[in-house]
Amino acid sequence: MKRFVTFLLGFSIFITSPVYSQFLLSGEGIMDVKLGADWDEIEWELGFKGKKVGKSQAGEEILLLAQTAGIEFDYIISYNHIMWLPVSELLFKDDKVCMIRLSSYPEYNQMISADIGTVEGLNFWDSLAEIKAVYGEYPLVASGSKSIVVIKDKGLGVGLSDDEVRTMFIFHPQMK
Amino acid sequence: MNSRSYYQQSSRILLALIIGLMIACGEKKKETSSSDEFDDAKAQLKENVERTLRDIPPPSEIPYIIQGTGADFNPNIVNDYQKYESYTISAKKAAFNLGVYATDIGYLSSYGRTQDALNYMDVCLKLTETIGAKDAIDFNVLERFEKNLSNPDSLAVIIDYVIANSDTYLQSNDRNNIAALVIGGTFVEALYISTQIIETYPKDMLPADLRLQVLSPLVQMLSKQKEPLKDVIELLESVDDKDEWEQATLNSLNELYQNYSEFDPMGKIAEGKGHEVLNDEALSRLTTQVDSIRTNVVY
Repeated sequence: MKRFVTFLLGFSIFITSPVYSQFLLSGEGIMDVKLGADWDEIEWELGFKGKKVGKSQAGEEILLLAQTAGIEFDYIISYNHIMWLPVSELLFKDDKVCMIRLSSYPEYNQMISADIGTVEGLNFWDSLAEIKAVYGEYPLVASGSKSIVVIKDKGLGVGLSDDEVRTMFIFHPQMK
Repeated sequence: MNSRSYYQQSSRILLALIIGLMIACGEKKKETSSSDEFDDAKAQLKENVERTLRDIPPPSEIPYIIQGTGADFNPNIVNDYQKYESYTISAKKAAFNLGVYATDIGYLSSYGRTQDALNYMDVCLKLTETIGAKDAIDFNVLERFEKNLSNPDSLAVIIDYVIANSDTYLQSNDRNNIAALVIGGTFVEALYISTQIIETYPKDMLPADLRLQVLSPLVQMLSKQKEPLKDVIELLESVDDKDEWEQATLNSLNELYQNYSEFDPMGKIAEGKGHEVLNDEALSRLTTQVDSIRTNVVY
């Protein structure tokens, strides 16, 4: 019975979700790049090691999102690579991934980003209104040149530019 | 003329076309700068391009070795030519995929897929337009290429002609960054085809030792790509004012190169550990890296 229910659940997600090549699971990860993985596991999935940078070198958007979501981290693995997922940064706490950032900003990531969406139906280049339509009311947080929306209870954050979703963050869901 | 020569010649035409992509706008740049420093840098870059083109194997070389493994033609390995239109939105994307398609033509030709090869040639021409090098292509020569695709002897003459002409154009600095991406695409696709053949070769068809024997030339060839890869990296490094495309490509290829230092199948065989070659961690990593780069490039 349990298997049947699981199958029905899986099937219903399959037939009701928009068709994206890569599903992003809020609060979990994308494909096999998952929260809780260590650096070696990530390297095997992406193919590349990336570059380790200190917390002090975190960008404005990452700091704003981590602070708003209540995520603490020790260091960052940064990617500026041609690779199959648009992962741009991974934040680590106790040597485990605690936040994943996907970015559609580099030109080489734009086409693969266009095919990525959350299972709930949000994807890159959607507007703030579409975020609200999918997830409900969450405040837009702005600081400096950055605007973000943090859906803490789902473990999802988005960065906007010109009312378009250009970055997505995955982290462990936090209590509201 | 044997089939190998034919494949090599077909792909030399493609390489010559690639060289042709580096040619546009060179003279204009010359007019706008006369500093010695600039001329030196330009000469260095030109030398790097020439050396890289000389050192990397022609795209057809790898499919030829693949044929030797007895692997069936796999239409899923090549990048679908109908996707070309989506690459025309970006010159960098177009440049990379021009290189990919050029290698695919080598693969198709080696399996006698003449009509498919012509379709790919057609989209290559469209991509040259995207990267602003349409004027560099001598369409009379291309017409002759199409007519002589099944006539190897005539191809040899055409190739000499194309290479001789392209050489005189090889003096552009501001187009060499595009050329570097084309070469990068050619190289990555050749590695992709090779690693995928090894990865997907049926595991239950032959005993492990025979399987290794069949795939050994391909693995050996793969292990010999370390120096050509270094050439491609040096070429990209010598491009001034690298943009995000060039820098990201360089970062990925540098990590690929680091992994190459751990990939030593011949050493394993010499140590009597031949049975480990096809399950080598460095080979798996290399396969993942190449697949990762290639997935992004052709997306």
